[in-house]
Amino acid sequence: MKKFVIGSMFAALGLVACDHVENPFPEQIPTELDYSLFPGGDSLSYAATEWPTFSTNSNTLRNLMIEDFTGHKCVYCAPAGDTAHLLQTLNPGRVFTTAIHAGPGNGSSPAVPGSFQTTDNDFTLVLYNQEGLEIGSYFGSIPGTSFNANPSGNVSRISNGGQIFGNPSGWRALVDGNLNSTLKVNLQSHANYYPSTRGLFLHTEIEVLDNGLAPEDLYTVVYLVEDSIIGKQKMPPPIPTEEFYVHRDVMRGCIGSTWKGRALGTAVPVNGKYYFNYSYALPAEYNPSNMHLLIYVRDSNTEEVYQVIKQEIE
Amino acid sequence: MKKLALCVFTASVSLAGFGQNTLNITGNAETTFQYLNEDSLIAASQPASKALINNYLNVFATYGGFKAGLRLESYLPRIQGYPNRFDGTGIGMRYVGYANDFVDITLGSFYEQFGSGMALRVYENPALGYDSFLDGARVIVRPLKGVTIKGVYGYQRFSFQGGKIVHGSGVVRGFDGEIHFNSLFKKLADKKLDVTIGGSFVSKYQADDREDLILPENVGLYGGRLDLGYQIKKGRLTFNGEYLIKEQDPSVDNGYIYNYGHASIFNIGYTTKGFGFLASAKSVDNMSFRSDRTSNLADLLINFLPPLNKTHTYNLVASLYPWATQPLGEVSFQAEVLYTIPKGTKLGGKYGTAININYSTSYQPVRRGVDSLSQANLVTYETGFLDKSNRKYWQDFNINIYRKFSKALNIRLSYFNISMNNDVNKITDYAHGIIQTNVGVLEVAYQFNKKHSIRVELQGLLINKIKEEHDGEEVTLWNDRGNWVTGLIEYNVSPNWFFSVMDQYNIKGSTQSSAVFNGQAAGVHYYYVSFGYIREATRISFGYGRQREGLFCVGGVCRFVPASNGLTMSITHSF
Repeated sequence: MKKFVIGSMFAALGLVACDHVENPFPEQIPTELDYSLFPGGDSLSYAATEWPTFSTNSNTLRNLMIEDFTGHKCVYCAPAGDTAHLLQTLNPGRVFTTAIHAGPGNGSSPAVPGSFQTTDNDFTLVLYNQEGLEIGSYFGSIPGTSFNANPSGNVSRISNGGQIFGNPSGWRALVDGNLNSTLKVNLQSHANYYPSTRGLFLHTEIEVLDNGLAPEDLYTVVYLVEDSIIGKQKMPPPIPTEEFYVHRDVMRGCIGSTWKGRALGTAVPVNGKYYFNYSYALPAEYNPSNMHLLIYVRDSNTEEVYQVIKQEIE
Repeated sequence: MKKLALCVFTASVSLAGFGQNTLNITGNAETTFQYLNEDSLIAASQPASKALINNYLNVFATYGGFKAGLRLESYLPRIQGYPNRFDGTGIGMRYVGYANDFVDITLGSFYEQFGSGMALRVYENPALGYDSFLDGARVIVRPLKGVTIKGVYGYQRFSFQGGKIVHGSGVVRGFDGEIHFNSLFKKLADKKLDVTIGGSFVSKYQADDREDLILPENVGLYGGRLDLGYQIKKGRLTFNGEYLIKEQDPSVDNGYIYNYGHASIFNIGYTTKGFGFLASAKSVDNMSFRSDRTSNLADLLINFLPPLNKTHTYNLVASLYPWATQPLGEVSFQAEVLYTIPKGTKLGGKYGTAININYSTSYQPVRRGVDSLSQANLVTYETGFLDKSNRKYWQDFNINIYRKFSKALNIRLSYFNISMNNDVNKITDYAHGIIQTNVGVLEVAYQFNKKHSIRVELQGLLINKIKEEHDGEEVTLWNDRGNWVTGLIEYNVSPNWFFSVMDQYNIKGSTQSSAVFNGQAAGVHYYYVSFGYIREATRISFGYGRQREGLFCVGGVCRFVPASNGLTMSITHSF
């Protein structure tokens, strides 16, 4: 009898254990997403069945992004593209390249394609996009910038000798010198694509690892990148113009923001992590299996890209 | 005849079997009636019904191990100062149960306390209109001598409306264990060191009804306590301490923060004939613990945070600027010395002279900033044990000297120096910052003969001055309502009659008080006459006059009483 009474009391105690709330704020279904891109259009259904749950991001490696500012009428741009592609091949999953068809601009607003990017009766393929042009114009207008022609580029916009942009000959050293640098921001993502609507939903999780970084200075950007497209490309003399050149990793624009990206300061962190969500209607001209996304975080003060990841669409 | 004798014998034997179990019925009753007048001088209003009445009757029955009790209450309508929710006539408390040396079971309404009450204290105080009993079940088990285990489960009483008990929305569960080693182990029974340890766990459940926050539905509070006593020659040294932690409990009280809370209290004392010493420390942070997170004032408190200051009884000291416990946080200290100058000495006189010196103080705890992650998760600060800031909440120094000059005459002289932070413990709208008062009290009691005696009290309160700016000019004023003086004469005709006359006067001086400067009446007399009759267990009293508005506090729990003018009649009886 004694044991029963005492045992019952302890059992009752176990049934009344306390709740501990890590995050006081309930998860909200973001209203900025276009749920008409989800077959059925039901936001509750999407939230219940499709919304990803991120596991702990155990990555400790910093990835690098090579932005190759190029043009199909630029004779020396093809070798630069090869250099970038080689560095990507040599460092699979660690180095991601994107070819941005844009020059340093001429100060016009909005930015316009330069002579190396324009189309005509011969070079008919439009490989530039407005966000890419704006990026080129921005960096090309920085006083004293070394970005004043094509080809030119940067490795995660890391400053080297006071310059972000440099010749392709210097990219390898920058990659080798920064591939093992400390990871300051971690990223992971998940994408849902629905062919019937051509709707793409992207969910990203950003974790700022370096306490010295102020979240309000950080922005996240999503590039839509075309894996490859065949078109004309001028080659270094005496090589004639390549009629069926494979233009690789062509930047097609930014998703969900201007080229500057979305500020981490606009999001309320949940357990110290920032979550951004996007909905996007993939234009009809793009084959989703030939597209991917580059997602990165930049510092608005230094422009440095602290981390970049690649997300396949299909 | 033989059959009759057999029946009587059988009945006698049967009754003799129950002779050890006799039916005992006890209880008490009280009726308080008020007839109030309008009095614009003190902003006292007459209620629409003109007359107010509170009634209650407690009946407790025991038969052998069985017990039962109930209380009938009636508010028609309730007297001034009672929660305005109370109305109607009906059963306000009821229980049944069984108790023996091993187990005590109660179903229905019950009162209980774990340790000092900081984990759980549900109790009743009719003067405050306070009743927080648990309605459910309680089991107390004493498996061994010196070992007590308690379990409680129930809803708390919140109100009494339409003649029915209204419960709070949260369920309270609790468990307490205590071991008195000197009773448990025979070898320790005669030892000088007396040791008791205990532990409590209390939790509440209330459904999360907010869409914008995830509220913890099960909130726990737990901790342990230690009681030590040591016999030193003719004196006794005591130490007791209790430490408790409360988990996340966002509520109206704390602004829905997700901080943990803590409460601790430690007392060390020494007593011997003619001398006593006590020192105490208390550290409290975020310890408001209610069974409904949206309630406030004195509603639905599960625990009780004891105030660490002396409870005063003199009118000007106790009722003008009383200190209320700060559940959101305070770090407090108290020290007290009692010494009786021996009788037969020059200083002590024929009968001895008792001196009591007491000091208490309370401060705001330090609140340090936290990182942005914590802030985002609504953990808004961090603090620690006895981590006090420099912001003073309360300070009370008082000295009391009592001397009996003869069998007929005794005199008590008291002085109080009290500082109270009105910005923290808002008592009055006319005071700014710290209210500082000096109060002197002379009390003289004289016994004419076996039946007739008189007691006279003279109290004076001097308050600090403040500077206020009005129309670009700096004005010097007495703080709040300024200075007071109270005179009381009480005449007793033992054993049945008592009479008293009191006047509490808000002095109208050449310097105005802040209250008068801002429109209140000056030079008001709060007179009050009363008389009463006591016969055995029955007491009937009548009082007429003015009562000042203010806070009425018992044990740090307070209720606001509005100003009133009129007749109050009270009848109490116990049986």
